[in-house]
Amino acid sequence: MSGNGEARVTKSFPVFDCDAHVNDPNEIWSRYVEPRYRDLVKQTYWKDEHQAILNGRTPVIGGGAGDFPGYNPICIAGPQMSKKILRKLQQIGLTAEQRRYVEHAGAYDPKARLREMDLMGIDQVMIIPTMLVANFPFAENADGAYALARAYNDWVTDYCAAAPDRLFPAGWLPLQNVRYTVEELDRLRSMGFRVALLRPIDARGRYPNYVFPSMVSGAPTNTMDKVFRKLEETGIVLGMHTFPAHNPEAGAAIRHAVPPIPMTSPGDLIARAGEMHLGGRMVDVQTLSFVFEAVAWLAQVLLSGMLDLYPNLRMAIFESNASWLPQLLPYWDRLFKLYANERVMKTDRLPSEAFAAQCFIAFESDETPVFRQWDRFEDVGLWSSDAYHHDGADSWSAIREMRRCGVPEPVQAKLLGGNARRMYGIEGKVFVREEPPPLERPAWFPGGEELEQWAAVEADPRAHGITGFDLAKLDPRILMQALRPY
Amino acid sequence: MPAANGRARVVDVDSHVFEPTDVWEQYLDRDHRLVARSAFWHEVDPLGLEVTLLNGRPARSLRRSGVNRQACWRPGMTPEDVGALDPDVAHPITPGAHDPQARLADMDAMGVETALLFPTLFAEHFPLVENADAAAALARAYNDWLWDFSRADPRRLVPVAVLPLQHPSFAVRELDRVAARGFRAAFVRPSFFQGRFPNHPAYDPLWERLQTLDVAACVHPSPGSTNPEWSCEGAFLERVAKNLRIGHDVAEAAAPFMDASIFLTAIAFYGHMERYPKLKLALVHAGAAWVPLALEKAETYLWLFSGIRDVSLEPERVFFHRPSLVGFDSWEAPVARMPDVYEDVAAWGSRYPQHDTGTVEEARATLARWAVPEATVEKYLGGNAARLFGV
Repeated sequence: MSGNGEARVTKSFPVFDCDAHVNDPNEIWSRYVEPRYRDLVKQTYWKDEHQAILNGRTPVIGGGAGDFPGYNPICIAGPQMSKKILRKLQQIGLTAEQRRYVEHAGAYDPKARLREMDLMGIDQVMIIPTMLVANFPFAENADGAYALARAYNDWVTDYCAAAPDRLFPAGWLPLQNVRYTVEELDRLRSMGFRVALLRPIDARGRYPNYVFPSMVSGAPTNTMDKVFRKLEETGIVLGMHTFPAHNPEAGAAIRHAVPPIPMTSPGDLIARAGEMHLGGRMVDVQTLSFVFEAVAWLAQVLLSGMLDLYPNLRMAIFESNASWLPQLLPYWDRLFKLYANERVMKTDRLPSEAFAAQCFIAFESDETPVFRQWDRFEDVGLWSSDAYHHDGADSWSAIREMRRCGVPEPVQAKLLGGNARRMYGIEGKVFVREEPPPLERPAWFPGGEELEQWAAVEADPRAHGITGFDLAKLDPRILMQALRPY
Repeated sequence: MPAANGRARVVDVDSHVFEPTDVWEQYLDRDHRLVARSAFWHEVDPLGLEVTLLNGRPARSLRRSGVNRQACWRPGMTPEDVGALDPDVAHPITPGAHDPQARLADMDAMGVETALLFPTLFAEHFPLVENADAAAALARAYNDWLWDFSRADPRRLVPVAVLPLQHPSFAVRELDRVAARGFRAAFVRPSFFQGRFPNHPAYDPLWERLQTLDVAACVHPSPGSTNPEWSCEGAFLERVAKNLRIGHDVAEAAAPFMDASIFLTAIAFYGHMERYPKLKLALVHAGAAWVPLALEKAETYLWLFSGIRDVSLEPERVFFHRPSLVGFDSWEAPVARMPDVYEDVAAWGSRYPQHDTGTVEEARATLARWAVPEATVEKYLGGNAARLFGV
């Protein structure tokens, strides 16, 4: 039996996890930022054991345990965890010791990560940062950003050196200055990186699609054209990595009915459908922000014909789900035809053709529509665990769901690793073949029939007479006590 | 009931009118004309110049070239035909967009028995009107015009009322008025007005009233290309896409799906589907394949956020077991490939007379390609819509 009570899964092919995370550790700043740039980086984006500070003025969530009430959601989804367990953990008032127990050290310790990968059925993995993706795009100082990007890329190189045939680093690019971006790409190539990451948002008024000469970028020719051409030249894959929308420097403006600042992400509107910014109920921005940032990027890139300018560019869309693609690509093809006479760039390659030729897209273990339409994803789909983020999952659950959906085993092998390795030019190796039995857990850890019964009530509260719960009206002292960070 | 050709009658859950100047000049009551002129006014002058006023200022037109993308399609046109239109020449709008007899003729040509009628200008601009009193008057004018339009054949033309959501009280009053007149469906745009989305508690009386009156809530986005940021996704998309100098609007490529999915997510977090279990809810003009994804994402994060404990953590189960409908487009293969998911909720919509109109034949071809059983095809093309709207 497996951890979830089903028959244990075995596999014969190597699994490559194209999108799993570290929790950006403090040593990136304390040990890897070059000493002569420390003061500058402190004014750019700095994190230590006390807090994270953006632009020398704005405290932000940096990923430290102190940033979160309860457990750390960046390090929580590991072997044999589930959303039922996570919800229960939020409600039982974890002690400091218990919080440390549920934190997966692989988020910063490579040796621990390898043990956890074995348990999760992951042979090889592309390592991606976490709160850097959220905060770095808003950093203002170009030199500080460049120094921090170098520090992160050096740190992740060392992290992955613990197992060079299993751990692969994704580079982070400093978009604050195109010249630095290009320089860092050259350095990444010399270090053997296979992918470099951007986030498709309008931080600092620089949505990363300004490829044409324009004063928008400050200097007319200082454009993303140089970056995309460098990516073509180096062969490094462009990884578009999305994130929950949040402008960390919006301040009080976000409480206005109509904020007097521009949106930075299409995900900005999701949270505003709730009233959390006014102290009311939440609509979680994490639900769709990832999807929206990817869709907004791809729609305009494919409809404009931009990829025709960079025919050797290869682009991967990460952490944005993939179920929407079979709906939107055919529609974009249609729009492409409908606007044939109005499109400025005269190209005739359909969006679906450009995507098939140059793009890949990540999907997650629970995306049943992807598995049911596997022929659409057979050559472009990339499985990702998203570990250790709280919605992460192992490869065993993906294999189970693929089998339920009738995905042929050779296609499973491509979706779960073959496509990623082809994109990156990485040799596949099998390190784990069999799902482990249930882990031994301490007595307090949620599980068994008790958890299932509790979850049944939680899942359908109205059927159990619960018709009202207002977090905002609870005595805040109770909340402080229950949710105090460790 | 089968049509003359033996096939089930086709119901189109997503067709549009393009509002003529008559709405303002003939149907707006005289007492409100002055205030409405500065709140929201649209006309085409004798020289063919288009005037759109919104909140006292000229508003950007949805039309960016000689091709009116909201009303240029006619039966028989292919996407290539539309793409070949010269954008530097002013093309007349499709007569069926504002003339009911021409509309019925087009429906005959398309093989459509019954069509729901949605607004165009009142979808894009009207939700942004700031003067609530003017909005109420404009809604009455539009609804009265649309009602008269539909009288050309009440069995085939199903009007969908607009509601002045600028004030919940006005919205409820207009809903009461149009329901008494015979409207069976109301338009709700998933966009923000002064920071409020339609799931805001201020609108609870409206949702309650929609349920009580058995009027279907048709959640229908608009591209938002002309709208300000923070009101919908279209404005952000248009702004950032300008860097690429594409030459045409792009909001329609993604914003409707985004706006509609925010709505579905928001009502999952607020529990509308459970609080109003008999409310008829139709999601149209945004495609259908995103619906399971949005519900699944809502489920994941409802489980992961323990601060909400009074709504179902399984919104997908709730959605598919209540009176729900999802419009799908002719080219949407996922609906054809997963009939077990969509069988009782999917309903075809054409988008007529917009440039991206899909046809019944195209929908049938998509469904046939994946061997959808004929009984399911009949549900998709009319049965599900007929059941929900009572047509």
